[in-house]
Amino acid sequence: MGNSSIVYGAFGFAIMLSLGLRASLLGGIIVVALLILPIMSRAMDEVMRMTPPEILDASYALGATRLETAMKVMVRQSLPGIVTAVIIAFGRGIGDAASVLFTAGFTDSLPSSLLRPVATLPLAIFFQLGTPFAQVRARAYAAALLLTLIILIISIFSRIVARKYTRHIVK
Amino acid sequence: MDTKPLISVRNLNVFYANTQALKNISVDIPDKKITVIIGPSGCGKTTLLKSFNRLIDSANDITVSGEVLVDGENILDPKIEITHIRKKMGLLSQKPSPLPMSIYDNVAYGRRIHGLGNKKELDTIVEHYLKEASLWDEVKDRLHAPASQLSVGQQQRLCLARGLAVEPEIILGDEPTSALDPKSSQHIEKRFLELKKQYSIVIVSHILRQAKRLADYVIFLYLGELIEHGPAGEVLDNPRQEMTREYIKGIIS
Repeated sequence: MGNSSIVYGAFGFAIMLSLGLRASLLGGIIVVALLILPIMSRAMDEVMRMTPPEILDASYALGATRLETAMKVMVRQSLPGIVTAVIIAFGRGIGDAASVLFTAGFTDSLPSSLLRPVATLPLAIFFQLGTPFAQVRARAYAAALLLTLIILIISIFSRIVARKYTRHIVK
Repeated sequence: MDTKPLISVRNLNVFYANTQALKNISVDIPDKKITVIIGPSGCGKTTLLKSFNRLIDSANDITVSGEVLVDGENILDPKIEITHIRKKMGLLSQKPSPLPMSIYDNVAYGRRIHGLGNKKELDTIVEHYLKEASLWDEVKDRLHAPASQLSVGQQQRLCLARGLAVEPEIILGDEPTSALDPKSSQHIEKRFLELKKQYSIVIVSHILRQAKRLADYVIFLYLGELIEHGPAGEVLDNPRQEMTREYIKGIIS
């Protein structure tokens, strides 16, 4: 969980090299997924463990199976926490540059297939800020603003979703 | 006993890790009566109750031996389908435990799980059992409000309605009034006295006065052992065992 994202990037890169793959959208997707998976699953696991055992027993006592209890009771009780976990992981994934540095590559154009390189917003900021051209640097700032706005919108949205589902939670 | 017993416990032993919670219990629970299990804290009352619907399975590191026969079926048999057993019993826990959903969904939960999806039928069922638990008038205008907004006393009646909605034969109550105020407790007790016409009720209680008000049959446990059991009048008013007498007088508690 505390592993640095560059380690994921380097690991993904090494595997892609051994498979003869080039930096691509697909490579970036897989590495970012691996990066956020432990963050997300750990946060979800923690919140689901907080479910009061009495309500699980209440569900079992009504004849529900473990699966039904998990899907209908535990998930509902933990929903705000699950949403938060997804958002945190999403924020981590969208904002991370190091893991996609080698695995997604960089390009100025939109990728036409999963196997073509792609520019993520953090990578666009990273590469474009390093150029001597003021116009290109301006695009980097635009990308930074966009990234900030996306994260802002997502967190507001998550608050709304979480609030909607908090009303049923049993304390 | 005039009627055939509903639950027969034979040589039941329960261990939590190395501690024996129940020691060789054999007892019959009569049908369509209120049976009250009394005894001091930690004597195994709840364990005995939870072995009836095998909720003790949720505990870690538990060993169970013996037989619990419900309608002649040994429910401790690992081959038996546990959801089928649990459908026969409604449970009221110590602290009311509404599910994290609306009042309506709480009552409909059991039936939906068992495959009923028809909205009209569910509406009828929800209304019927909320009335049965005498909660309908208080909640009919806010059926889709979260169950957790109800008062504790209302929550316990909701749990009763939810348990009744799966049409059980037996109602199990684990000190069902201990978290409630006197008025709500009275409410629940009154329901029990009416419900015993149709259901068999088994309650764990540490309140002797409650046992006197409700019980037809009494089981007295002490430190995991069955000390005495019999019709309420005999056990509570004229106990045969010294230990029961002392417990009732309040010497051991």
